[in-house]
Amino acid sequence: MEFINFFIDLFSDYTTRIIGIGTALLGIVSGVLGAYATLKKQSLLGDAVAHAALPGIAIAFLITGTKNPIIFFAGAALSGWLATLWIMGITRNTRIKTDTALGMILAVFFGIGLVLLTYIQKLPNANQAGLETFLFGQAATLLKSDVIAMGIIGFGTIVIIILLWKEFKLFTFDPQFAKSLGYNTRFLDILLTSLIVLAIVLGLQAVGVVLMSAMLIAPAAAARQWTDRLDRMVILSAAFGALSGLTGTAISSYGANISTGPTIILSSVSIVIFSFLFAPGRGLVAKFLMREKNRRNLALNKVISEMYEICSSHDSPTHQHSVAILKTLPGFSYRMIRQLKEKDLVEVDSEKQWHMTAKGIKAAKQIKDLGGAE
Amino acid sequence: MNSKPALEINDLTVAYKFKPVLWDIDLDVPEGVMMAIVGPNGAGKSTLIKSILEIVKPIAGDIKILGKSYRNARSEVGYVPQKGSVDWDFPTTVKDVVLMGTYGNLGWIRRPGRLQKVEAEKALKKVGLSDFSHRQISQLSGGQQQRVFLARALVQDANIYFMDEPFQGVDATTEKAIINILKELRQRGKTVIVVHHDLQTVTDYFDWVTLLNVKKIASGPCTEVFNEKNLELTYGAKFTLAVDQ
Repeated sequence: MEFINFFIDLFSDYTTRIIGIGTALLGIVSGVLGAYATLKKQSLLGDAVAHAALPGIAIAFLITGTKNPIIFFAGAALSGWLATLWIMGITRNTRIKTDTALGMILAVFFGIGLVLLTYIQKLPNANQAGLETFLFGQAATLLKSDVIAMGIIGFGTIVIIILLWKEFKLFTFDPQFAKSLGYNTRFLDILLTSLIVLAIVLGLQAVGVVLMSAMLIAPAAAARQWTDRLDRMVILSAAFGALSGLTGTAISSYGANISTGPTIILSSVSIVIFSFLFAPGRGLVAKFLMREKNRRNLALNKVISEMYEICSSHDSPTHQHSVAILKTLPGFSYRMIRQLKEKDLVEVDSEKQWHMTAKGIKAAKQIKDLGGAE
Repeated sequence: MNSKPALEINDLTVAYKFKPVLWDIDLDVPEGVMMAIVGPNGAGKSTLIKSILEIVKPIAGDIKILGKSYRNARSEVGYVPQKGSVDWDFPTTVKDVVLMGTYGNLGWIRRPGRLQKVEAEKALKKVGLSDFSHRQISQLSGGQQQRVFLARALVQDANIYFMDEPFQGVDATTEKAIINILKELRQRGKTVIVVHHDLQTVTDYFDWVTLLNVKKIASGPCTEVFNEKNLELTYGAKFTLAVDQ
């Protein structure tokens, strides 16, 4: 309860509330598109786009001399887009592979961005302060108008995703089949990539160029652990994104002056780690437990069939044997005898003599029919 | 067998980044045959199918399917891509993948409804995967994956089918099941064109064959063109040793 009150207190502050809503919206949009980016194995594209947006922001400032978020947004989107087209062009027309093209373009654009940024900082003009916050993000600079713009773009994105749900699913899973059905896959590709670029640029102000790609990948990677359905994955990914936005804002505004970018990313990475460990089915813990259970079942089955062998060498099924001889069986432990007793497969008397029950013999025969293993 | 061509290809040339993959292919396939496309690795077998389906853009050439351009014949075409061309860890179910076969006729934005779902169930039953309808696709074996793709193509309810190595990675039982479905398609008058790897089974499964190695070596009824001379031209001289056993 105290924790929830803490949250309520925190977000009762107007500025924090605006920032919270902004980063949550951002989390939703990048969560939704991140699901597609990771499924298309394009998560690295986000990183390149984010870094490539920096020179766009710097140039937008140099030309206009103002720090209008809309102008920054346009500049960032334009240079992010240009980088994407360049990467696609290189991979399509040369022998260079996608990862190499991504790395090259990212470095070139980011380098130019940094050069321009240092140049701007040396300008004899007080107006330039704050441009460097784009590196790590400063959600405190979000205004109500920015959040409204985010809301509109986010809403538009989600409407497109819902309308073209079937098309995007088909295209992400099997683009060749989509093309054979007559869908314009070039259009779908450009639309989806544009939405991803948009989501990234949207988050630069709050999260920064360096970490923005994690905002795209982390919620999706976490969501994938919990479900095997695309619809659930997209919704979960959006929810994880929103949650990390809110948590990150809370941490950042509580411990004054910590950049929001890193706190948001740390929140979403915590969700990823938790999901990788504890998600049912795909999580590491679940996998480990499953493997242990299989191993134990296998060992138990083996011991049952060995016991059956011992029994069948005598005429009477109720012939008593000493527990001691079981110790020679591979993989035997006293715990097994207890388990077998609980399952009513074996009876053991006070003198440590055992025999198999009718149920036990039936079970052993079944195991034998299956070839000794389950 | 009537002589109307199901597939008519003239002067088809395809290149990937300057390297020719298919060179000046002419091909006529009559309606209602079951044809194998055979040839060594890199012979352009998959590329041939992909150019017919306009997935790959040729440098030159003219292709007619059932007498029409692909755009106009599309609703009569079914396609089974190579199993390895998709990520089987994609978060979706068997039924969802099969339903994708209906997306072509649905067109943009419209979602599959009850009718399409019934069709999908029927196709799944035909390939023996009714019980797997709600399984996640990563839980399938190679043979089951192949049958899911086949079911998806059956849902397309086409007149001509193109299949890229539908027998790849399947066991003998599944292979038999698949071939029975293909034979049934032919009995219903459909044309079935299959990229095939196992030369031993060509004459058992197919009545028509195209031998391909960048250029078309031969094409026609198995009884006429599937002979040692053409196989040698397709696979090279060392080849005969490998088959004659």
